[in-house]
Amino acid sequence: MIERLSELAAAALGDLDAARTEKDVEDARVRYLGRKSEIATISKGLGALSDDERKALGKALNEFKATVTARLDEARTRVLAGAASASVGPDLTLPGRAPWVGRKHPITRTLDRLEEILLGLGFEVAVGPEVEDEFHNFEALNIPPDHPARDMWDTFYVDGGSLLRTHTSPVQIRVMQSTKPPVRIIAPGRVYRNENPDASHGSEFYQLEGLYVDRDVRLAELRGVLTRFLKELLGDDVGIRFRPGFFPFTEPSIEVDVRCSICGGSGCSVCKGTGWVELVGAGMVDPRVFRAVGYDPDAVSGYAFGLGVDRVCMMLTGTDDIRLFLENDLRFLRGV
Amino acid sequence: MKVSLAWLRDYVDFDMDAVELARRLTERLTETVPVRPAGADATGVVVAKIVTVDRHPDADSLSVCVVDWGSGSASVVCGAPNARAGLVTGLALPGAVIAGGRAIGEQTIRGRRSFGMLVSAAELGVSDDAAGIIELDPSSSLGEDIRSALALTADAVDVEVQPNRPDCTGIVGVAREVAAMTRSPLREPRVDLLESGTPASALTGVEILDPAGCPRYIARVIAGVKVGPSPAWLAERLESVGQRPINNVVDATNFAMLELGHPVHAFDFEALEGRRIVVRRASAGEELVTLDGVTRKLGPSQLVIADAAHPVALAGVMGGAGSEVTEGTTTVLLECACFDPVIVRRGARGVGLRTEASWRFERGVDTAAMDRVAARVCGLIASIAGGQVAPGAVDVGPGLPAPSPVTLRMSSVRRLLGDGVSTSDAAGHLAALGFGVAPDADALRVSVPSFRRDIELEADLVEEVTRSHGYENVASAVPFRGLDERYEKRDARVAQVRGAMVGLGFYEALTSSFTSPAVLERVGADPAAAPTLSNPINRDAPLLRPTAVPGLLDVVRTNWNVGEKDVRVFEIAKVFSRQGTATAEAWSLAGAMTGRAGRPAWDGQSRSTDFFDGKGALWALGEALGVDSLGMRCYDGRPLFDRAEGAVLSAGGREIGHLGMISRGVLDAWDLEQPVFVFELSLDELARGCRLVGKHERLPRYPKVRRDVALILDDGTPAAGVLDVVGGHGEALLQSVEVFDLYRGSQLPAGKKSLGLSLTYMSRERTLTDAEVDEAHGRVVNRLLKELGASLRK
Repeated sequence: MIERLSELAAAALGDLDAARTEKDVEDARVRYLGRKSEIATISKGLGALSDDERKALGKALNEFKATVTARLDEARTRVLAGAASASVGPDLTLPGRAPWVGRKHPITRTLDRLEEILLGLGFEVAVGPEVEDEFHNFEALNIPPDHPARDMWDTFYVDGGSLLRTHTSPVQIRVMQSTKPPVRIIAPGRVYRNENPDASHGSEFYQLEGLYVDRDVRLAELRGVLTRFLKELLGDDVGIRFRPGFFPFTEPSIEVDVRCSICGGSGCSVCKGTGWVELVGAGMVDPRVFRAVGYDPDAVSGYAFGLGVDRVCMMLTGTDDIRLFLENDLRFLRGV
Repeated sequence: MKVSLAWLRDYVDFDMDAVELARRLTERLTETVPVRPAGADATGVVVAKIVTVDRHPDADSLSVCVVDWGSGSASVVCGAPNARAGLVTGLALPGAVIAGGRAIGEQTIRGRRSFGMLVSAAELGVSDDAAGIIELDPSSSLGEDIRSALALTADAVDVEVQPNRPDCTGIVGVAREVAAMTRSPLREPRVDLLESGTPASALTGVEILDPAGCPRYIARVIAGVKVGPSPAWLAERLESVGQRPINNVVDATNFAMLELGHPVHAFDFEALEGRRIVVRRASAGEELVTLDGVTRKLGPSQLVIADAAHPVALAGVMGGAGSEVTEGTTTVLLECACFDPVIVRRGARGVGLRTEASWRFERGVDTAAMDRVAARVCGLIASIAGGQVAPGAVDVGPGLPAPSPVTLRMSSVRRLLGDGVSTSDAAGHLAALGFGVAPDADALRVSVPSFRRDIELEADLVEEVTRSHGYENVASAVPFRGLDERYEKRDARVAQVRGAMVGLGFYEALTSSFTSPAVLERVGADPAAAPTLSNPINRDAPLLRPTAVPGLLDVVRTNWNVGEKDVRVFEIAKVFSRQGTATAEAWSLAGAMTGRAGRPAWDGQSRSTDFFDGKGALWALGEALGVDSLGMRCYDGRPLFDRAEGAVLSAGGREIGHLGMISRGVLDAWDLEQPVFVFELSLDELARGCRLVGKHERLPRYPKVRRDVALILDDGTPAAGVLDVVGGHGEALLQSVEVFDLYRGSQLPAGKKSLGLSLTYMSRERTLTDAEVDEAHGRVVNRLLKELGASLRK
């Protein structure tokens, strides 16, 4: 009986190796393992045997089933993969098996890049709350109540008197209040403006702020650091323009423009025909800011800069609508 | 340079052992290490007593000793002739390491087991004595480490003398540093000199033909010396720093060199032709047999000490054999000279020699102290070898000009050290080092002692003050960064969590911070707990979100609208809450999963995402972050979740969030059809259990053994209950358990299920035998059967 099992096994394996279609495989299964197979008949006869015989035959039957079942699975996978026979092998042109993948949000990836460059330049990341108070968001930054400068920031107020920070600059204030100079920090994070969103303005977006305060910090260093930063970010051949600006918390204040990457400077709708895109606001820290945090303006000087992360992300990815960032359409998240 | 502590204590008192002294000198002078005495590296050798000695039955030269080391006894095979009952000696136990790094084990010698080895002094490494096993004081305590029994502790330090510090080539120079740092007085060596007889100037003469090569030369004469062995104290001093004693006169010169850092040389006066000294360049072809017996060919680049006819020494390097002080010497001419460092260095190299003398002359000697050095040696020789010191010296050459004074401005000190060092601090540091200090407004006028020719500029003094102040006391500042950096920094673990979620196949989403009361009510959150905007831009979203879940449901909805039905997204979101009238904010990790559980593939069925995909993802996140205490409690009641499929998550026993299938009502509210699973956790709580870098645990060296069991259980028995029974009995060999199968169906009685468990057993000490594993596994299985009323599935 055991000899018969080996013969059957040899036949089954031969048939399975020769199988070309799913039906071939299924036929072989029915033939060798099915309810009406010879194996089934042999199994039914077990009861009539002596203990020793039954044990030996039972073991052989189990081995047979294991061997044939394993080869059956192989053959099924192979014919599903479209391979004609064992000697030809599977169709390697079928797609690979992969788990689901994920990615960081493009804003996160942009922040990562900005931080990587600035950390390399010696800055350290500081953070602060999104729900702020008047002092940190405005007064310490030389923006008194009822000053016309307040119009530059439409603000969300939270019941109870706090507000949603309109920029990351309050982190500067918190850092200087808690730390003696020198400080050299960047502060990334979400900020809020009470404006109706459109393609180029969000009411919730991201900023990154930089601050360096030390003895004898000169404007030249601000220029040097921003130039280096922008070249690393956008390439060595990026056009950079420094021009006067106004922020209550810097004196002098500077706007930094980069050459429009869409039109290359000849003027287009993105750059409103100027050939330049405003990217960074900067300047030397106003002595009144130093006084507000208890620094001696005669002993230290410093610079600060800030930029819109969404704006940089749009520039890097070619995205034309800032609102896409909070929509999280997977096609967008996958694509950029 | 080796400095023995006992010798150093001749000049300064200090309360430090060799290890501490080495540490302090390293901190303020130069790298210094304690010198470990011979034998101090042996480990595992203990004091043991021989109880009985029997002849080895199969080897005449060996004996079998029973030894007792207090905490045990065993027999040891020994070949030493002095092995005898009652002897207290050293036993290297199995595992010991003796001289030469030799490891001792338990071994069989000629058929007899030997538990380690009895050691000789040579085997221990303390001396060359290999004649027999070491014999210790019988009162030594058995079992004590032999190193402490022999007092093998460091009694010297090795000072790495820097090239700019010739003063530290003498032990007195090191003592001066020790005195300065401990602010104790320095006792300079006493000069006891009785002069008598004919003045030196009447006995000999010195002529310097190369004044640049030899700025100063002092010769003194001592007559009637008795050359012989040095007294014990002198021989011990020399041996304590690794010098071999030769005879009393030579030893006295070597002692003075080691003490003062200035090499001196003794000539046999009678052997000097013309009884006089000429310092000159060697002529081409001249030869000198040096003390080491080698004939040296000399040339004009080399400076020699000559007598009236021939070179008698290679200046600053080595004396000649012909004028060596021997037993027959009665009159000694003592040379104390200064030679140009470059000439000495080249001369030494030219003949391939590097001597104690050349090493010191290359660094430069103190010409101002030469008469004291000469007098010190003469006094020593007279006291230990007898003889009369001829009055006076022949002293030729002006020596080197005194070092110039240097002004130290305190502003320079402050620029480097800040305000931590006052003018009087600086003056104190410098005075202790032997500098003359006079305050001058906000500066110090510093006169430099002749032994500190390395001090030339203000910066050199700043360095002296700095090292005296202590580098460990200099404020630490990172350029361009805050000194105290007390501001809030970003938690690095947030980036870790983000990276792990991306790795688990989730897209990062960023959603709005604003929400509405209606939305919050829909997901079962209390709108009253959410901070309210007084001037919302959108009247429908006037609240700051207390949860990120609605935002992610919006993301699922948005994607369904565009045909993206397989969605796995997460957000690391600020969530807000009311704290009285104030507003608090915290980081939250939220996720949503829906659609197919895996990417569609050509050979598989695509299963739909279920609860266990969410649970698995979070447990995988925990594993990726090193959070190993995640737990879960099944519950219902939160309207966000389906009654049967919602759970509370915990870490380290604290509630950190929840996970579940969105309830029908919430699905309808977002107009979603297929099951959506969401989770939200407090990132701060999760981060608390997160290890960025964990502690290494020694990897197991022994194989794991797997045993499976299939149980038939009541369908209502939770898997967690089964796992509790498996893990709850402290089965020491059980490493882990996995659920590999769950079956319900026709092969089982109604109301029953089968659960397949795979248990892994392992020992950290040994390879387990089948019997051990079977026994442990049997215990586990029996408990399962008994406590759960389970049966085995055949």
